[in-house]
Amino acid sequence: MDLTPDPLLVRLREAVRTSLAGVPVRPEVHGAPVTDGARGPARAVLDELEAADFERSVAAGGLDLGLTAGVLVSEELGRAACGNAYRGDALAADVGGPAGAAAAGFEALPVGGGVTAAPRPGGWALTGTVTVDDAAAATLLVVTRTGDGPVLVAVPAGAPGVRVEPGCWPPAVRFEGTPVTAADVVAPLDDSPAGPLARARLRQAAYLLGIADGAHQVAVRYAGVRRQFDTRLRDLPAVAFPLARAMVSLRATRAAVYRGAWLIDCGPGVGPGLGSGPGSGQDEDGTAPLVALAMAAETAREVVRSSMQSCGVRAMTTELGLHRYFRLAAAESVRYGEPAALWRLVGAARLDRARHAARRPVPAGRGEPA
Amino acid sequence: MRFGFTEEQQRFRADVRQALRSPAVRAAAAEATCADGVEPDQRPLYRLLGKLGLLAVHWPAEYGGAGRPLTDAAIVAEELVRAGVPDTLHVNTIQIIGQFLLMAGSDEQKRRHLPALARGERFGSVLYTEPDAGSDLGALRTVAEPDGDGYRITGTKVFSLKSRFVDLGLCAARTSPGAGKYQGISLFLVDMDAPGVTVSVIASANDEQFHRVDLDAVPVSGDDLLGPRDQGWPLLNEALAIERTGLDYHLKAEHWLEAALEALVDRDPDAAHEAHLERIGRWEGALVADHALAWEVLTGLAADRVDPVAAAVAKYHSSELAQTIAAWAVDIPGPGQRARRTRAAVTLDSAHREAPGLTLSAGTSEVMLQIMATAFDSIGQEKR
Repeated sequence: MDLTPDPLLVRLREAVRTSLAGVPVRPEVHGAPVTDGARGPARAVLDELEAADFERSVAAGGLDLGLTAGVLVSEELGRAACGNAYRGDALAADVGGPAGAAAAGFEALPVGGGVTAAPRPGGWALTGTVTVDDAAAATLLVVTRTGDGPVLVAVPAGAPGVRVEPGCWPPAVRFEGTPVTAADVVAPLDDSPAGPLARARLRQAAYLLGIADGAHQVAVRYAGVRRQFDTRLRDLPAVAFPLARAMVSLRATRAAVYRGAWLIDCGPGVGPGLGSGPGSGQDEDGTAPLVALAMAAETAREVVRSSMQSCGVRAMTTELGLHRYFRLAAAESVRYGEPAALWRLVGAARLDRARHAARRPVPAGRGEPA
Repeated sequence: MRFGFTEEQQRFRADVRQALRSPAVRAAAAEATCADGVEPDQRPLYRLLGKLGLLAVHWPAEYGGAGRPLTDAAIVAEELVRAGVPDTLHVNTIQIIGQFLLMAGSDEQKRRHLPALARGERFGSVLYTEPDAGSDLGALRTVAEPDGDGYRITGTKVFSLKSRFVDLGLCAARTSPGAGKYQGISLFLVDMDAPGVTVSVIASANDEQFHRVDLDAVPVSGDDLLGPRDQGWPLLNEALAIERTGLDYHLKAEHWLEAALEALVDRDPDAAHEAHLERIGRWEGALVADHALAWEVLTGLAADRVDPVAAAVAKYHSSELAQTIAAWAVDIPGPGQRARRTRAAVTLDSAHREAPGLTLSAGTSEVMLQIMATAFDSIGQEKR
């Protein structure tokens, strides 16, 4: 391993961070804290940076910087407490869909209700209410399950039985017998190691990591100037230690997220080179995106919560802006599936490997009888 | 960033793994495994490993090494633990004493000590902690008084591991008492067979026992002073950061999770074990991140960058993780497995008794948090 930061990515991060610093924040404490999708203020910044080209292959006119670059952009969006204007387009690009589409129903993965697809002549009828990225998008990329497993279906926002509910946040979309055909299925959403779902999960994990990091940095700065008991808050162990523990969680989560992106960027076959003896097979099973997403979701919730506590009641007002991270963490940490369900998948895969190993002859190893 | 290993590193790992599969190594490793409070003499195993050239591959050839990169030494450390080699002698002798000598020793000291350590013929241990100076090493009272061209060291060191098996102690002592809490401390290489050295066992719940080392006017020569006189504190801090890669704790955590899964599968091979899946998933995820944190520190050290904050993060994360896994896993083996004393049951019982020490040794978790908190003043300036 060589975990020295890549100078190109360091420069890219600086550019994205600097540009996002100019995105205006919503001043109010109620209502939607951010705007997602194509109408969000972050979209103009990303367009200016031509962020859509970062992941795109050279053959398609892009820079071919890999998923790592998309993960970086996602992290910086979260860190700036911006709406996510990136993930919808990135997903659409992965599946060959149109830009400006909104993703809907990812919270129903890997288990859960979501949108059901009842067979009908020539296709299916969609029914259910799920979360959507962008209430104003013309096309919705909807997660549902057909007989072939989870798939992504493109549905025009104006299709019969579709009603977007922008009055809640995050916005929701209702489907009432919305007809779709096999031609509307744009991609399977299986657990293939480098498939669109894996990539989307890693981008979301990075967004959550950024949300946690942004809140933490606000708290660290504030605790460094706010004085109580004749000392800086940050110099009181009761405040400093939770912030330090948050730093550990952030670094661990960052490692999981960027490792997951690296695995995908390096392509199949890289797993055995990771070299962990018993873990040498741990990367072929595609659990890296699940690990990253579940860890980032829990880190976001816990780090933002403890950052709020460090800043006292001002964290709940517009004075520090922490309330935006708090509400984002709640909404975004389940948008791509419940962490507990994700962890169960990772646990089942790990147990399967142990079961498989138990059937093999025991190699040279610890504590064997002489 | 590269989260995987190069082809050359993979080849090297495979070679090491192959060497460790020999019947002789397997037998010696089994003989050296602690259990039920019995701590066998592990030196025969290490002598074998020394002959195989596997103890200090990153040291220069003139000092008994193979001149390989530090990252290759980490690969060896991983494979040693995975092959069942108890790690304390390696951590103390090679990773701490040896590394300290490479970092601060004179050419004469390196030539005198390193080759024998690399061959597994001699062993070392640190003598830092005292009855009233644990995490607060600045409170140490041991003194080294000038005596001719050398010194005489007097004091008491406690809670050191393997002391009755080692030949060399790295001892922190005050050479200028009254100079200040963190001033006037020097580091010495002490011959553990020297007159005035008394080693006694402090029984521990762990399978590895602690030791008390009484130093009664122990003579050391001027050549045994490691680094400049009175400049031991900054050296200690740098060495402690080097020591805290977290890799050794990570390997324990990995080993203990494996044992827990082995026990689960052995108990009921076809069961889904639904009640444990979420927890197992969390441990797996934490281990993946933990490994990367340790290698982040190692990557820095290989490039001569000592990052005390990254080291504190890695040490904290890995030791807390290993301890938490041990606390969970102790209940995994069923009564039948405990009665049969299966390998996993014995391992997990031992792990449970060892685990409390992990967040104390090499700096407590609270000290690690303090190091991180102190770094907040520069937060936001780091490169990623």
